[in-house]
Amino acid sequence: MKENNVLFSSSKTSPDLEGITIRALRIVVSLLAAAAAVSLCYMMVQKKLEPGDVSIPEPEILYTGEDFVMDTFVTQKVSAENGEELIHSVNELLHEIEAEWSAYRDGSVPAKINARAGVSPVEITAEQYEIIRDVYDFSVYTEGRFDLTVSPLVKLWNITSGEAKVPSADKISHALSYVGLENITLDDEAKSVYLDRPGVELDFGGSLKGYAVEQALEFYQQSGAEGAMISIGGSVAVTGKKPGEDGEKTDFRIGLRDPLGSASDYYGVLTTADKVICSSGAYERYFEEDGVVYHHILDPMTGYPAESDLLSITVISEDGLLCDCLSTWLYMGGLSLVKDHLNESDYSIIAVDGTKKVWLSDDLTGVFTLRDGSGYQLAE
Amino acid sequence: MKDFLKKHWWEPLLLLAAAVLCFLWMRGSFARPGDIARITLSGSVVMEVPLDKSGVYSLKEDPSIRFEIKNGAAAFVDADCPDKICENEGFLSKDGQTAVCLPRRVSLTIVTAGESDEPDMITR
Repeated sequence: MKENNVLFSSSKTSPDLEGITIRALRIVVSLLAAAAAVSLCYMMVQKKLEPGDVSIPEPEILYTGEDFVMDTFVTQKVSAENGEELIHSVNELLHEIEAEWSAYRDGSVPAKINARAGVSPVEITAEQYEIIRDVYDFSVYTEGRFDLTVSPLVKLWNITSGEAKVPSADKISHALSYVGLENITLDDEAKSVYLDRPGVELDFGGSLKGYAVEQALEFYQQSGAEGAMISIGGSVAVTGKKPGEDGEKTDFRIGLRDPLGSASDYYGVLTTADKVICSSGAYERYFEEDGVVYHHILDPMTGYPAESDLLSITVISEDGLLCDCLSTWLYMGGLSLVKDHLNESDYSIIAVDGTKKVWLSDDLTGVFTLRDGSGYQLAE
Repeated sequence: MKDFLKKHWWEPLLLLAAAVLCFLWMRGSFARPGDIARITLSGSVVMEVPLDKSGVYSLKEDPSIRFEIKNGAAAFVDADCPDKICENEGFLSKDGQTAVCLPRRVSLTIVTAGESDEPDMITR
């Protein structure tokens, strides 16, 4: 032992220092030994699983389902005795909505209207017309900042392709010449839509997911589900409650994605029901070129990705179509627009600014909580 | 003896604290029985792997899709899709965490046994 002590002592070390060194070493060794002992015990106590021995204790009648629709990932959680059946039916419903409204599907409403651009008006059903009218009216309300004819610009940038490049200014200018609400003529009597020249196109990408989750929500409610939740990309809808411990029903909890983190990180939790929740932010889809990030929310006023002082925005509303349009528009308008609309009667807002401050509508106090240690803080 | 106890009374407490911390660390670092990574392809569950079965796995249906289980967490690896968003998600271990490869229509979701404090869904 004495020899060992010598090994850890220099010739200049005082007897006191030597004692401290030995004590420190003893503590470190003890800690390591304790750590090893506890680790060993924990591993021994753990039950070893064999292949095929997977048992996932599902909470009582809470079913989950996943699918890919509208070029994105769909998740459902349904609390109902026929939950699996409902999930399957909602997946079918979503595929039907995509077939009806995706501009990239032959025979869809926008595809038919786009194909007759500059040729003739296209008559559609009263229900379809109402949807287009709503999105058009919203576009007019935003003075074209949200524009349902933005498609030529979206196709030019092609940000979701994985091989996107920044287009030339000439090409952007050319695409912009086909964008504008003045190119659309709606006929309320005939329920028809006319685009005034070839090359002008309708695209409901900015509103379709919100509409789809609202349709799913109505389906769950009409089917008698006790609770359900659906997520399609940045759009979520939730109704009723989920089964909790001891048969008690509890609220669904929606994590709001941390715009500076990965897709699994969240900065806060929202607890709500019978609402649609739509989020927008530059983090969703983007590409980098020469060190610059180009995201997918294109500003029809400039032809380039919107420059916003917000990191993300979440809108909560009963109207899914409006919710999706609002989140895109408010993101483009930035914090000043958010402040102007923070306390509206038909929707609520959670916005994150560039300094990680969270702006909240008054009616969300008590249903939204920041995650501990997230680094975000509520704005005063 | 009294002097010794007086001088060293804090050492057992330190050991106890270290043991507790160590236990908490172990719980966080390794999978509990029943924790799995659930892999879906085009919406159908094609594989469920316990999170305590470390290794690199590939899908029978598409061997180019590979994921790794390590230290009670799972991640896509060697993704050959252009954006690599799925791989960039890194290792996931908490209930409900999901990584998605849109081009290949594959998802990896962590499902843990028992109650979880994690949200039911995270907006994307």
